[in-house]
Amino acid sequence: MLSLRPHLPAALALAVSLGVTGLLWQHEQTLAEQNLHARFDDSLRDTTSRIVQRMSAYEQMLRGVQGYHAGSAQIDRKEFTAYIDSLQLGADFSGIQGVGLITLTPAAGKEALSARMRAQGFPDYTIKPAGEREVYAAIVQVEPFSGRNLVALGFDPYTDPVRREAMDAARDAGAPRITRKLQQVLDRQPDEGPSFILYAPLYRHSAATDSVALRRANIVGWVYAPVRLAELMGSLYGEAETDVAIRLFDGITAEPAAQFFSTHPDSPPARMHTREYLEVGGLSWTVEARALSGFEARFGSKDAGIIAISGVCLSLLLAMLTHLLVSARQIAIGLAHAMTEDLRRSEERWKYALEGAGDGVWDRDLRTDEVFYSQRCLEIFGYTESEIRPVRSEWVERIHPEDRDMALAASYACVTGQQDSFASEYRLRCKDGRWKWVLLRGRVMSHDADGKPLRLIGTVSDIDARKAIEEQVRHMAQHDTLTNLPNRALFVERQQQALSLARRDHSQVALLFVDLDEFKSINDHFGHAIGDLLLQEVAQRMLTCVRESDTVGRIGGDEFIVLLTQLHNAEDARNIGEKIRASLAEPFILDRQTIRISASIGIASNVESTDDAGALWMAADVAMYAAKAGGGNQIALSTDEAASSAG
Amino acid sequence: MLRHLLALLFGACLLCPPAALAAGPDCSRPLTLALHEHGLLYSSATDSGVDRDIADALIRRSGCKVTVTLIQRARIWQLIESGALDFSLSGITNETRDKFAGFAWYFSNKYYLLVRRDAGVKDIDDFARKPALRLGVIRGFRYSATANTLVDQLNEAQRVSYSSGLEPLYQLLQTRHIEGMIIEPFDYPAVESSKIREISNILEFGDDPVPHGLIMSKKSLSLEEQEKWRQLIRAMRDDGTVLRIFEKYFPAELARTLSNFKY
Repeated sequence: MLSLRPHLPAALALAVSLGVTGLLWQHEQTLAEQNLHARFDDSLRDTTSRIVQRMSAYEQMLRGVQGYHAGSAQIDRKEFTAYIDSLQLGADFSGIQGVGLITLTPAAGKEALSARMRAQGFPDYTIKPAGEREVYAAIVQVEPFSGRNLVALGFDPYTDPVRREAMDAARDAGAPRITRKLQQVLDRQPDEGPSFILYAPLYRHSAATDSVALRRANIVGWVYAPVRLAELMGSLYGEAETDVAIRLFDGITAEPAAQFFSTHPDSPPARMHTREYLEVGGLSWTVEARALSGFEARFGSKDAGIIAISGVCLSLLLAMLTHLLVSARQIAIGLAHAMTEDLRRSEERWKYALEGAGDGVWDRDLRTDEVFYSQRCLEIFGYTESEIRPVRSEWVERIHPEDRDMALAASYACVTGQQDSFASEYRLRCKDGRWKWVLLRGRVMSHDADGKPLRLIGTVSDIDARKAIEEQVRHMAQHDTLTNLPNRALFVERQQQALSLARRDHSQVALLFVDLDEFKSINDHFGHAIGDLLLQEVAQRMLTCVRESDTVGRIGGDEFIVLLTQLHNAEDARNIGEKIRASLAEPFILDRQTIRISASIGIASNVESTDDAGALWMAADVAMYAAKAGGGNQIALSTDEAASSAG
Repeated sequence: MLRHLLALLFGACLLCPPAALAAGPDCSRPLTLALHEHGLLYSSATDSGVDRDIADALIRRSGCKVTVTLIQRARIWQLIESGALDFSLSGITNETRDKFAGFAWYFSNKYYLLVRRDAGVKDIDDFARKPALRLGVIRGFRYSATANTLVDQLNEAQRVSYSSGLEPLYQLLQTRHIEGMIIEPFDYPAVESSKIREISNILEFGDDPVPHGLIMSKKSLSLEEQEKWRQLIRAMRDDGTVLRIFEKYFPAELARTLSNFKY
């Protein structure tokens, strides 16, 4: 099964960013919806405000007529015409079809009214509809008196219940009141859309109107103004919102029968719609607004959509980036793991190799002179990490004084670039005070930008054992294994040195050849083991006879040689030779057996003979043979006659 | 002796500062005052109400010529702000209105939620919680703090029906177009009509009474003039004129409650 873990961060980033996008989108949607509704409400409020203002203007106009009436005992026809003309019912009063006067006349006054009207120039004046009634509220004047207004003259609106309701309401309120919806103002008028009529009461001149009863008692007529809704509303909407359908209803219900007006008769039901209610002329009107498709298109915010699209894109981008980052990180971690593992293995190999070989590792920072010493490094000298500070001085002060200059010079040559690496052998003081031979190897491992060395890394090897073996080998090569005396090679070397010194100092050097007399018979008689013991004992006795500066060597089976330096005269050599001869003449107790031997000694010196090593050697040899020829157990000088003749 | 005393009194009167002689407001121009239809505050049907009487008393005391008109409330505030209208009555303040209007308080009252019984509403919060319920308010009206919060909250949820007057709201309530409307004590007569009373309950908002008063346009009246009109209202309160006007329309106890407040 594939692990989903590597994809988790990207999925999480995607989920979170999509979630945030969702929240932002939702928030923006809500804001946009609120803004849209606010704009829509503004549009409706603006419309209702315009309607109310227009209705106020109408009412104000009628109040003007009321005022005109109140100020006159009798309204003169011509003055009324002039007054209405002066109102200049223009655009501000659009919808008003005219302004008329109604006179309330009791049945008894009906004929007088008609007669008066006829006398005023309307010969055909009759009150319509005909018939007997208690009161007549006939229209007696309409301005402008032209067109369709002509037919209104004589009409009694009080006979129509709808009109009468409004007229009575106006009478009782003492203020303008409107009728409910009228399909036609006058029966004979063509259908030009719904209308209403605004009535304002006229009371008897100077009569009290403080109460409803007084108003009813003193009503004398009405002034009225028919209004066509289509014209009223049409004149309102010049600057109105075209993408909002407005419908106006009589009453508080939006029923088709009550509809006054519609800006968009065929507008379908809309998602966004609202109603506001108006109190107009004592009645309630409903204004309904529907947002048409263009409204939301114009004012709806597209930000939410943009947020959604950009949010989704950014979320995907973020998820991809997260995935890339996580992948890159995982690759880097994998690489780092692999490299670390390689390094660890490499280090382990080196550690194994170095510490397996018993070597320690050190790492010196050339800028600070701080040094890292590996555990093995410190173990070589018997220290632990806590006992040695990680500084170079700790090391340098433990170098043997005789080796220090050489050791420092070697590393200095490497640091200064004179050589790539260095190796030096010297002695270091161990914790227990012993000196131990070490081999130090080093190499500059890193440089700064200017080529200046930064780190010197190297190993330290314990070569104490090797040095001991080398010493032993060297000793064995120069000494006789039986007697541990210098052998011929070492002896010759020392003889050369002594002669060189003697030549410089003009000092005297003597060479003594000592040969044991009849040694072969001792071997034969006592065996080689006793013979060897004897040779060892001889060597010891000879060493007791010479000074520390002298050298005793063994150059053959029973042949010994002695180098004497710093002699004062030839007698000194003879004395020492005599001392040796006498010493060897003393009996030897070996393996509980007493053995007596003697020695023949030949002496040659650089003063009496030659300062040539070979010649001196030969002279001493000759002198020794002379002594042996003389019967043994004696000393012969190369200057002696016998020795000279033997030579 | 008596002559000296009279001369002293006469002299003292001459030295009286002009303010002590009750300098009235500036009547050099005709002023305008608007009433709005609102229950017992003013009814155009009867051309009477508390505000009508307050206006009459105020005009009489000021000696100024004041034209009184009937304008819808929302428009009144616009006109006051523009300075086209000098006064209106029974106004309440808020932060916005304070910027363009000064006030002289003459009564205070609480607000109530008139709610249909069949809406099953137990309290104000319950009304807000039921998304199907609609509230009817008068455009341009503000109320007490809790009532304002409810209106704003429901408006945001498109649950408010606006009207230019109370009458359409009563009709809407009766025909279930709305389930609640905010009323004040001077709406009681309408509420107590049998049709409304049978179908509704009254819930209290629980806020403190809100002061109502004479609204003065800051744009058309200087601070000094406003203060003079405020003095007139104060005098009407102090001499019992305001209480008497309220007693004309309300039961005595309610009239006292409405007109007796600390401001």
